[in-house]
Amino acid sequence: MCGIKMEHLKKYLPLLLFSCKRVSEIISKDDEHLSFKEKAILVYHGTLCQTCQHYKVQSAILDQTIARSLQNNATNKLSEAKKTVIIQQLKKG
Amino acid sequence: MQISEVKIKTIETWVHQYGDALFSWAISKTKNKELSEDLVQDTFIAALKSFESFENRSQPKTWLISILNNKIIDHFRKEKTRSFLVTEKKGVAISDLMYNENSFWVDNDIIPFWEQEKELHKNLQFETDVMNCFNQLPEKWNLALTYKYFTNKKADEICKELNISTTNYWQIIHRSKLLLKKCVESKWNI
Repeated sequence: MCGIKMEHLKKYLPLLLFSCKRVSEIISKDDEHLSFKEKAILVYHGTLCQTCQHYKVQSAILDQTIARSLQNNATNKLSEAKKTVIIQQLKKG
Repeated sequence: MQISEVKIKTIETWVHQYGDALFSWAISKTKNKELSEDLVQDTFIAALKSFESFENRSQPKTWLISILNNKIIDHFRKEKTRSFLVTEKKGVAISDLMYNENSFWVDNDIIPFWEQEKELHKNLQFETDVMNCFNQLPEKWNLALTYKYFTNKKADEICKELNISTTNYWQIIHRSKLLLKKCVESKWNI
């Protein structure tokens, strides 16, 4: 015997058998929104599927790149002069 | 105070409250200061004209950003310098085709560039390419992603403001990432 009990197999086998589509959907979510079951699916599927493991890395890189790019731009400010011009335009109708 | 004066006063307050955020948003899309200023100005003028359609169902900032987004899209359509090439239908089809009939990956090849550079997300060329791909996403997906990464709001809040379900939101995020992956790989897999 390899030491794996039948009740464990019955419990965890469905987690291993989730499709890559379902697993990659879970990967795309933020960690904080994952349920315990989803986290378990990621761990068990990840041990078998290299492509999903790599997708996890790629998803994280995309997250970091987009956040960095958009937040770098968040420091831009509309000049007070332009705000005044806009308000004047609004009043002109 | 007359109704029109109340409207102007309200929008004047919004210029001070949300002007910087709208400008940052426009800059992130256009990378052009003057153009972004003009688009923000057009947004506030359009908001005044269609003030009655703002029903307080969403935050004023959400409403203004949706107007601004339309202005940005109109601009790129007119200029034809960049277009939002991928429709939602096409986006769904492209992302679905990345899996086979059993819902496993069609392409299991690992493209090396993803893991060759330690801090790939800080590579400026990579960032530019990702953002160019980002700007070609379907409009609704582009908006959802910009909300996610730009505002740092929680998923529940974003769904409420965009009036979409949580399931739909995570589907949009997932499909967008698949499209971005495909788009970037087409440029970097040399």
